[in-house]
Amino acid sequence: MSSAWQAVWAVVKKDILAELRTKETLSMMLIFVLLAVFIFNFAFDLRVENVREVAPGVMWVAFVFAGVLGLNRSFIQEADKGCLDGLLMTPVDRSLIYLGKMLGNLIFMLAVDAIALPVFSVLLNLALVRWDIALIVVLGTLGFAGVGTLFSAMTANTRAREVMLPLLLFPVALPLVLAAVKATAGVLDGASLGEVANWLNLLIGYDVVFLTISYLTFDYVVES
Amino acid sequence: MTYLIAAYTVMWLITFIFVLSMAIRQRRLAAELEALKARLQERQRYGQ
Amino acid sequence: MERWGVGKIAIFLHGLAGAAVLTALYMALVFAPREAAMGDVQRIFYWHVATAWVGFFAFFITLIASIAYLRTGRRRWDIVALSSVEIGLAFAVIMTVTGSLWAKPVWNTWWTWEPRLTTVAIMLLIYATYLLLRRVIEDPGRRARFAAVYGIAGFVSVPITFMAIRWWRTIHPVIFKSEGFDLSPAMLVALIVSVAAYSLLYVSLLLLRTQLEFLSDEAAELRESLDE
Repeated sequence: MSSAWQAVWAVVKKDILAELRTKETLSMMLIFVLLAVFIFNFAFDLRVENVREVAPGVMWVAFVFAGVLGLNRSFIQEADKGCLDGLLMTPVDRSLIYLGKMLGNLIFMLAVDAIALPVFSVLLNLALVRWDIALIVVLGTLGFAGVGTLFSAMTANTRAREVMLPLLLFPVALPLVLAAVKATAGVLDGASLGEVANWLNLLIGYDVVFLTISYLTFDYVVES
Repeated sequence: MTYLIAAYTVMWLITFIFVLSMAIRQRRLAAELEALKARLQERQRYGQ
Repeated sequence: MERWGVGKIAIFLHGLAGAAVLTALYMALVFAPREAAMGDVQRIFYWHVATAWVGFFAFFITLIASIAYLRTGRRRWDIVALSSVEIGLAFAVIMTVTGSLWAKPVWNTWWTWEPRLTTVAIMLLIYATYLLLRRVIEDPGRRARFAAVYGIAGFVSVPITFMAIRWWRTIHPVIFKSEGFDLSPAMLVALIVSVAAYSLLYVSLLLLRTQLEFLSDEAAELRESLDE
């Protein structure tokens, strides 16, 4: 393993270890995801006839909001406890720190998604645990974590930071969420992955573009 | 036809408001600059 | 301190922009022929397209200025980026409102969630957030850096908006296709004049707006030196 990946892995391991000690962020995200589904259930009256039509939207809105919860804590915790300065003082390329934080956030989000999907399947009475949906979830969450990590590093240093993150992130991430919802709806309606290829291409394109932008600009965000 | 008139009105209105807001900000800044410069000169005249 | 927007050339430019806008008004309202199917409402089109293009262009300038700021760290690039967002947003609002006023008689609705309109709404939100972001950061250097990063990331919405009517099936008309234009020659002339006029107006406004920001920097500096 090259030293670059060792550095990235060190950041990821640090975040996972810290999380496993308290399990705070993960449990918050999980409860929030379930709460979101309950709220939608009351708001939309998700009965058997219309559940297939709204399920992709419900699912992704729940994922996205829970993701913001996790992202918010990702840098605010570090900044408040002074860990961020320590992290930045290590003789490691800042872009690698970005990759580490991004992978950590991605792992947390995917963990929440993985637990939430079977629960959704039961609550919504739909088969959501499928490999094609899993692929869409990974692609969608990757881009969201990518640009979300960049913005959460930014908002940790602003006024009204918990509010600023969703404000910054949602409009930028909207095309991604839209593509993910459309692709999920497509495969739920029985289309193959090939038939929703245009949405998958949008997802992949978005992932590539935003990971590149975030990777290149992260240095300027944490510079003091 | 009404829509055409409405569209052109809105268009000019927005452009006008934008330019006007810039003009107001400009005037306020110019006044502030004058006042600041005057104070600075005063201070220099009487010494620190 | 730089002095953009008040020199002789700049004043000539402001005059030229004013004259061009009046010419474009004449071209759109009188010179261009009446469209057969839609009637006079179609005359909204010239300004709608002109503000749309110049708005997109303004956001592109913000992208360039943001990259330049991150590379050089010079305040003037930050000022250009901010000014261009403000002007672009004003133009984009004009584009949206005129589009909506055209859609009411032609599509029989003010607004519909089709690809072009959806992506435009997202783009407006992003650049409004850009201005908000600048307000919640105290430290000037950090404000400029964060704004530049958001100016770069947010720009992705612009090509998506531009391509929306080409990628997806939509009811929004596509005027410029790879095969050529969908316009009569006189209409094309009126459109070109409108785009040129609004481009000139953009340059003129950009000069004035950046000038304003330089002035405000100057005032801030003076204030600081007085406080010492």
